[in-house]
Order: sequence, then structure tokens, then C-alpha cells
Amino acid sequence: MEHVEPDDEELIRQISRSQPEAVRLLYRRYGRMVYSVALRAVGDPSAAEEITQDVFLRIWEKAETYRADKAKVVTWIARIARNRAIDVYRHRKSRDDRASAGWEDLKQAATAPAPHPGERMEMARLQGRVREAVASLPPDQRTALALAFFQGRTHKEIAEELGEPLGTVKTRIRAAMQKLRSILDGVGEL
Amino acid sequence: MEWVSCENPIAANFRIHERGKPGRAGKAKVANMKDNHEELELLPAFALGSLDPEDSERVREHVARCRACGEELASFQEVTGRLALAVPEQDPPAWLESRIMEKVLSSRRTRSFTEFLGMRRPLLAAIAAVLIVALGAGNIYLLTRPFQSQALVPGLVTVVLTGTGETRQAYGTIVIDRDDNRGVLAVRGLAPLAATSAYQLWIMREGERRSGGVFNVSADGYGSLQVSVPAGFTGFTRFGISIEPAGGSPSPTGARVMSGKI
Repeated sequence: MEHVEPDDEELIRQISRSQPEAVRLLYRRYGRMVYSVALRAVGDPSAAEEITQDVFLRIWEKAETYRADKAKVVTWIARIARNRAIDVYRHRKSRDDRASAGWEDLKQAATAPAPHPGERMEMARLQGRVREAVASLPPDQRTALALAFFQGRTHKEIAEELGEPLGTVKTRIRAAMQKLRSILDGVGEL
Repeated sequence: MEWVSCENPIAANFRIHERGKPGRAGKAKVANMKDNHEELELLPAFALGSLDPEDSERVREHVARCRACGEELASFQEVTGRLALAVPEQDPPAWLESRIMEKVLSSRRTRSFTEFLGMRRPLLAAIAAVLIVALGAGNIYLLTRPFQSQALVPGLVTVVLTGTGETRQAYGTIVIDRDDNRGVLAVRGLAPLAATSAYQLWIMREGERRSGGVFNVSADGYGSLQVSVPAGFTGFTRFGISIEPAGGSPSPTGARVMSGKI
């Protein structure tokens, strides 16, 4: 008999019913994404491991709070991961520079093959589209966006970091987000 | 895109304008937007969390009473979430999955116990707690106590599961509340499975096998599962546990390792 893998929302329902194996499947789908976001934010592999662990434990404990009408599962997980990574970054008030905190290597990643043969094609396709969209931004917008996204910095903090006028930073971030939205609006569902 | 139920026409035109399709009226309204609706310009940064506290509060208040801006914000929040997908991926260490699952399984007892305490029927909660303690202690006498309770609690069904073949050392109990159509399974003595497999509980009657959920066991062979049963629960005669691919199967495909008669 052919085995059909449960979709993301079914896994969240299983977790809500206290079925731990669903966490394992969800980790196999999104563990790399969570770990990679954390590593970008804090730059320290051991801290990124702790963040990844926290994220999946939080999913285990809070699956009931997921609302399918508000966000896709992957977006919900990404938000948890980013928020946790920013918390850790702010607590440490610094990042290790062993890993990049920007988007410099997007072009290589966009063309790289899926690292695991079993990785879902839809996920890989969406990742490629998002990477292309970010790579299409002007470099100054990309830099400002990276500081906001990975480190949760405010407009003012970004302006100070880059030595740019506050209004310029606001405009760059707004323009970047609007452009990304217009590009990604038509991109398919996960 | 069709804008629906917009409480603020200026907000609606902002989005239309942004997509390069403004009507004449839309352009005029957009021109006045900053005077009337300037929170719109802050939404992308709010979605990213890069506003200062004062502006954040202003946006939060505005969005709470403006449906159009709420939808606009949701679209930027979706963009923020998707940005995580752009991050070039790196592999976490292989042991991280096992560590996470250990944490999940060890937290599960606490979680399950708390859930049981929240059940509508306090007696079932108490029995479930006894069951868990009994299994944890390996105490056969305590394990049988739910049977004694069964006669006192109408609607409560208790089933003992025993291992079969190579797993005959395994034992477990299911306590089901017929009124709630749910209950708890606790087992001990099963072998931990590889990550590609899981134990799956089946609720069975003639010609029908319904999944009761999937679970794995800890390194010491302990496992538990919150069980939902079909409404009414009538006509079902046995529980069984088989080894299936991780995530479970629509019907049993693997060897049965435990069973018990209802």
C-alpha cells in the first residue's frame, strides 16, 4: 500500500493531539530552515542548535495556537524561528561572525540542487523563487532588509549602523517589502 | 485582486495604486494618503518589527480598527515569514533531531498529565495519573487498579494490552471515556524504533481498522498517547498496535506487536 505523507496542517493537528512523531516529521521538513535562520541571526552554531530545539519544543507545546486562516504552517514556523533568534541575538547583543548575516550568497543558493533527495519539490521551488526575489533587490535595500530581518533592528538602529539618513532607511525598507510582496504575490502555495 | 469590505477607501486605493492600476479617483486619494492614513506607510516596517515602540503602538491601534490595513499588514507579514525561505540552508548536526525528540518525549508526561487534569471527568484524570505512575514504577498491581474502578464509573472502558511474539514482555493499558470519546494509552516494554518508523494504535471491529494515533517510546521503552475513538465507540472489539512508517498508515501494514480485547 502506498504511504501518503501527512501535510503540514495534518501534522499540526497530530501534535495538538499529543502525537510526538509528528514533531519529528515537521522537523525533517523545516529543521534545516529553522537552523539556518538562527545561524544567520546569531552566527554561532551551538546557539543556533539551542534556538532550533526551542522552536520545535514551542511548536510541540503551542500547536493549538496555530490558525490556518492566518498563516501557512511554514510561515508560522518561520516567524517563531525568527522571533526566537532575534531574542537570543538581543540578549547576547552581538553575533559571532563565523556565518554571514546578510543575503550575499543568495545566487549560489538559488541554483544549488536540493541537498536531500527527499526534500519536497514544492518547498524547493518556493525557496528558489523567494531567493530570486530577494536577489533582485538593489544592494542597499537588501542590506537594510537583512539588518531588520535577522537582527530585528529598528529604522533608527539601521540608519546608525549604515551611516545613512533615517528617512533613506525607511524608504529602502518600505520599497524592498513592497517589491517583494508584488513578486511573491503570485507564487504558489506550499 | 478584489478588495472586500474595506472600511477605508484610501487604504484600498493605496494597494491598487501600488500595483500600478490606479483610477483617477484612486490617484487623488493616494495623494492625500499621508494626511489621512499615514500608518499605511509604516506597515511593512511593522511587519518586520523595525518600528520604534511609539510608531508600533500607533500602527497596532490603527490596525485594530481598520480592516483594510489589517489585511494589508497580513500580506506584509506573509512576506516576512517567507523571507526565511530565502536563507541558504545549512544542515544542523545529525544528533539534533534525537535531542529534540528526547525533549519532546520527556515533556510529554507533564503535558499529558496536565491535559488529563483538565478533562471533564476528574475520575478519569485520576485513573490516568495512576496508570502513568503504575507504568513508570513497573507495578503490575497498580496497573490492574483501573479495572477495579471500571465497575464504579459508568462509561469508562479499560483495556489491557499485551505484547505478542517477540514483544511479549510489553504491556500497557488504555482507559477510554465513552462520553468524551477519548482517553489515554500507556505502554511499557516496547523497543524504541528508528526514526523512519512509529508505533500505530488501531481500533478494530469486523472489517474495519481505525487509527488511534502514532507514537514512539523512550529509550527505556515507555510510551503514551492521547487517544481519540470514533463517536459511540460501539461495535469495536479490539485494540492493536503495529509498526508502521513514521507518520502512520491509513491501515495496518506492519507486524502487530500488541493487542487487547475490549
